[in-house]
Amino acid sequence: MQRAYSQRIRAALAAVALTLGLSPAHAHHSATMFDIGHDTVINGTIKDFQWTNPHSWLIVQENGGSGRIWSFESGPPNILSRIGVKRGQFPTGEKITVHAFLMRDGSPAGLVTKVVKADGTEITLGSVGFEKH
Amino acid sequence: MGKTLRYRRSVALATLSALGLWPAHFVAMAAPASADSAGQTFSSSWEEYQAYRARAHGGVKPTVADLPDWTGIWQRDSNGLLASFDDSAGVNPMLGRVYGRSTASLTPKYQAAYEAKVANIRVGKEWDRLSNCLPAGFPRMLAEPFLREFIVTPAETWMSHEQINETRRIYTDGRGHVPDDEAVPLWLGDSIGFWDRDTLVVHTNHLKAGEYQRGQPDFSFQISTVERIRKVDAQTIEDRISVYDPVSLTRPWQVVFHYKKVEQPGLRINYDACEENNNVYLAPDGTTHYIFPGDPKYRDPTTFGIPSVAIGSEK
Repeated sequence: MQRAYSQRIRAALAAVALTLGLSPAHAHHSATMFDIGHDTVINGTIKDFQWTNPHSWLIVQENGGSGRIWSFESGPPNILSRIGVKRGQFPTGEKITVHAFLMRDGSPAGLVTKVVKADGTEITLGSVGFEKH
Repeated sequence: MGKTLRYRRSVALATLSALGLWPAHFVAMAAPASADSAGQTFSSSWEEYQAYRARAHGGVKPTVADLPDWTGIWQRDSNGLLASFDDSAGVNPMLGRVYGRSTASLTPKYQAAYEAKVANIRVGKEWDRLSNCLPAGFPRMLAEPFLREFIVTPAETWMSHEQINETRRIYTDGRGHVPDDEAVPLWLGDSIGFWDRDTLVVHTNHLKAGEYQRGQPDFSFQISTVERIRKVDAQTIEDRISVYDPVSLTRPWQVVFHYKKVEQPGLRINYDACEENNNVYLAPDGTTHYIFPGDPKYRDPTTFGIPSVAIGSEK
């Protein structure tokens, strides 16, 4: 019940952020390198969460045989914190599912849109704005 | 016509144009006319500024009690068009998504450069100089989506912007511009102004060349601007800007920006250190790319700029 309530609060904050035009994906760089709108799912284990400017980065090792290291870009701490994201939500070693718009050139990286935890909790991290048009 | 209605009309026209159902020049005609609110036209930004000054009888020298209340945290309302300068013109149908259509009337050289820029973006080639952690500068600062504050005092007004901690100072103490033979081009230029009742009138020159926003045209070192900034209601600050640039524009570009008050409790603007984790670079093919962990050139944010003795001590 508590988690459902907190998810609702987070969704409400994200909605407010959208209304204001706050966009975790609005960056200090172009977004043309990403395959915007093509959602790809990667299952993996968190190696690191860099809560940094100008962007936060989620480093994930893909589960299964490849063990590939993926770098997923997100918004800066200022914007993420305003939509309810907390740094402690991404502890090293946790298994997660990442939804992302991957890089067009095949590099092991992408623009993360949301993370789904093992218990089903969804955390919106990016792509807001690019999905609107 | 209300802003929402204007926007919907622009989007509809742009969509029809993209589908080939509405001639493109009709869309261009839907752009805001380039004229002062009093219908006057001016040959330079300085002439326009002086006209407002004469109209205000030189302006008033306010006390603290006279100044309008612009306190709070504000954010540009751009109808979701994050990469726009004039957000009233709708989506650029060539680029879609967050890219706004330009309503600038460009000289042939700058028009060609803009068309080349758009064509490059369409094939994934785009580089934003902000990626070098350079500031947005002025007037692009007006078009950024991040949080901002207006700090108003009798002698100066500051526009403080979250992105790269830019602070623009507008002097209202009666001083003139830095003389041309002493000035150097600056990212935020040199801004002087006066108060006409509740409106701050500003003239800015000595700017560096740049672009109005990502996916927007470029401007030259000859750019100068006039702004009339006022709080139009409790939730909205409006900035009406006339951009002059004889090198890049065939006529002044007049744009209205709206900033909405952000009422989120406890909200604050944090320091934004762009170099903290900036592993983005311009690839030889013109695309934006990254250096990833494991690459010898990767700058690891957990060690970059941290005293070696303190590495690993983060809570």
